[in-house]
Amino acid sequence: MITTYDVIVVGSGPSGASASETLVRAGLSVCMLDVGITNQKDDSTIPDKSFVELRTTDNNQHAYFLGKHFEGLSFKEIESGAQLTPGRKYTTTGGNVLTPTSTDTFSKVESLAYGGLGGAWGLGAFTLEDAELIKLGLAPRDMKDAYGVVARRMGVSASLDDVTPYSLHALEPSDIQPATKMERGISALFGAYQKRRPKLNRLGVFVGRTPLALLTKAIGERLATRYTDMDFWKNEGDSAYRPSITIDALRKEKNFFYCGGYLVTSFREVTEGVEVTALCVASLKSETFLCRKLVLTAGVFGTARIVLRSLGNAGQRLPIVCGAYVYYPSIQPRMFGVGVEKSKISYSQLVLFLKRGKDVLDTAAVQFYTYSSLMLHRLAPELPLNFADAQKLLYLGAPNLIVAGLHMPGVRGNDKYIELVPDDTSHTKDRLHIHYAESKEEKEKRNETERIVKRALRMLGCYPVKRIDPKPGASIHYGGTLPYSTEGGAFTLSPQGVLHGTSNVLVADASGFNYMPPKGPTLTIMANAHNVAKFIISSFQHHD
Amino acid sequence: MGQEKEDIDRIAKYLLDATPSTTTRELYRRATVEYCRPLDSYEVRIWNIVMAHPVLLPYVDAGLGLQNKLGGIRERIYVALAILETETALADKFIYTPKPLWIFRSAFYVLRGVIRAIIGRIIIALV
Repeated sequence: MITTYDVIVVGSGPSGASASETLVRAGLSVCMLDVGITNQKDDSTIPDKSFVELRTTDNNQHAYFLGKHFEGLSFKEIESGAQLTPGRKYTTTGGNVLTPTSTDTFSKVESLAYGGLGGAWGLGAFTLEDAELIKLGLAPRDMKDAYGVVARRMGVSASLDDVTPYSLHALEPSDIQPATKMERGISALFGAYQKRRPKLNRLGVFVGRTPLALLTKAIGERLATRYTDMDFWKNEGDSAYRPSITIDALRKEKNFFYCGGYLVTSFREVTEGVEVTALCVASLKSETFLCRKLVLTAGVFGTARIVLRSLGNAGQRLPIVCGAYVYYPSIQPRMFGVGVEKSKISYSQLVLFLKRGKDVLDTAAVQFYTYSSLMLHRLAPELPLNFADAQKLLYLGAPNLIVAGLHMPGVRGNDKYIELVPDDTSHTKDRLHIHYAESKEEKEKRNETERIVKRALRMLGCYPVKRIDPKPGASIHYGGTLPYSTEGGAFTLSPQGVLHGTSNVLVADASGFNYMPPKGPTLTIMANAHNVAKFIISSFQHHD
Repeated sequence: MGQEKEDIDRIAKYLLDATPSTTTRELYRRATVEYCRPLDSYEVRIWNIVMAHPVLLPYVDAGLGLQNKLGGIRERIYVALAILETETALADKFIYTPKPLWIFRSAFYVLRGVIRAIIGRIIIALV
C-alpha cells in the first residue's frame, strides 16, 4: 500500500527547503523527493586555519585547492560555474546524464545536489522593492512578512545605508544582524563613494553594504563567521546559510521524509490528490508516490521538464527570462603596495545600485569582490602575457584587484524559450532544448547601462581592465517559464502558485517570475516558497 | 617519471626560478595524464624544441598566448603554475608582501611580456 503524504516537495534547493520548513512546522507530513547528490569532498579534512596560514603551512593543500583529481583546474573559455571550487563542484554534477540539455546560445547551470544551487550561493540576501515584486507577479504586502520569517531563519547580516531602500527595505532592523567587518580594499572603495556621494547620487548611483546570509552572531549551533577567507572552500561552523542546513534539521522531525536518489519525471492528478512518478537513480526504474498536494521546487528547468512531460503537447514551448550579466576585473590603484589582509571574508561586501528611472527595468546592480582566496593561477590565462610575467604581475596587483559583477534585468522575448525534444539516448527519453537571444533594444539598453556603470566605477577609483561577457545564463538567475497570471491559461500560475489547469499542483521556485530583477533573487524565492506553503496550510485547514 | 620530472623542473625554473618538490613533480606527472589533453603533432614539435632549449620557453609561451592561448602547450605550463602555487615553500611568490618600486616592477613585467610575445611569434613562425 502506498503512503499518501500531505505534501510532496520536489527538490531540496532554497525554495524546497523554505517551503518544507513551513509545512513541517505546521504539522503536515512532508515527503521530499530529491536526486540529492552530496559533496564527496569532505570539507572537514581542511584544517581549521585561515587561507594565508594554510597556504604557508599545509603541505596537503593541493588536495583541496586543486582537487584530488585536478577538478579545480579550468583551462578553457569562461562558462557558467567555472569559478566553482572543487568542494562546490558537486552542486552542478550529474546533469549531463539525468537532465540532458542542448543549446548553442545559453550557458545553463542546473543542480541535482542536496541543497541545490544553494550549496554554492554567493549569499546576497536582497529584498525586492514593491514595484519589482508587482512586476514579478507577487504581492508586496504578503512578501514583507515572508521576508522577515525567512531572514530570521537563515540569519542576514547587513547595515543600514544608502542602498537599504533598494536592498533591505522589507526587513525590520530587528530582523538583521550587524554587518561583517569590511576589508581594507572594500573600505577604500566605500570611502571613495562617500567622498563623491552627491555627484554619484545625481548619476543614479548608490553604494552600500551587501546584505549577506552570513552570521555575525551565532544562531543555535551555527557559529558567527571567523573571517578566515576560506568561504569558497568550506563552511566553517555553518556560518553561511545553506539549504542543506534546513534539510538536515528537518530530517530529525517525525513528519518529514527525505527520499534521496529520485528524479521526479511527471505527475498526474488522481482522486486522492496527485500521483508523482520518479526515476530511481540507482535502479533506473520508475516508482510512484502519492500526495494530497504537490509542490514543485525543482529549479526553473527541472520544474519545466516535469510540467511539460505531465501536461505538455509535443512542441510546446515555454518562455524563459534570465538576467544579463557581465563582469569587469578592475584595479583600484590606491591599494597598490598594500599587503594581503589575513582576516576577511570572501563574499561580496559592497553593492552598487544604478537607478536611472522609476521603471524597475532601469535598475542595475553591481557586486564587488576582492580577489585573494581563489588563487592566482585561475586568473593568469586571462592576461595576454606569458605565464611567468602574468604571475608576477598578478602577485603585485592582487591586493588592488576588484571584480565588479554587473547584473541587469532580464525580460521575456520571442527568441527566448525552452522546449522538450525527444531523445532516445536519455533516461527520460527527452532532453531540454534552450534557445535564447537578446533583442536589439535589449542590447542597446545593456550597452547604455554598462557605459554609465563603467563611468561610476572610474569615479570610485576602480578602473576596469577587461570586460568579460559570458554567454546568456551566466547570471544563474532564471525564471518566467510558468509565469504568474491572474487570467489563467495553460502553463501559467495563479498568484498563490497553483498551476492553472490543476487543483493540487503548486510551483514555489522562480518559474513564475515575470521578469528577472538584477538583485540576487534567492531571498525572494525562499520568501515566496514560504507563502506557497502557507497557502497550502490554509487550504488544508479550510478543507478539513 | 623521468621526462615529466625534467619538464616540470624546466617550467618551474622559467616561471618562478625555483626547484619543485618531489610532491610537485609527482602531481605534475599525474596531471599530464589525468587532466592535460594530448599535444597534437605540431605542438609536440614545438614542445620538444622548447624542452631541449628551455631558454625559448618564455618566448614560445608568450607567442602562443597571442596565437593559441588555450592550446596544449600553454595548458601544461598553466597546470605547472597551479601545482607550484600549492607548494608551501613557494607561497611567498604568490601571496603579496609589500615591495618597493612596485609600479616600476609592474611596468617592467608588462613591457617584458610584450617583447617576449613579439619574439615568440617570430620563433613560432619559424618552427
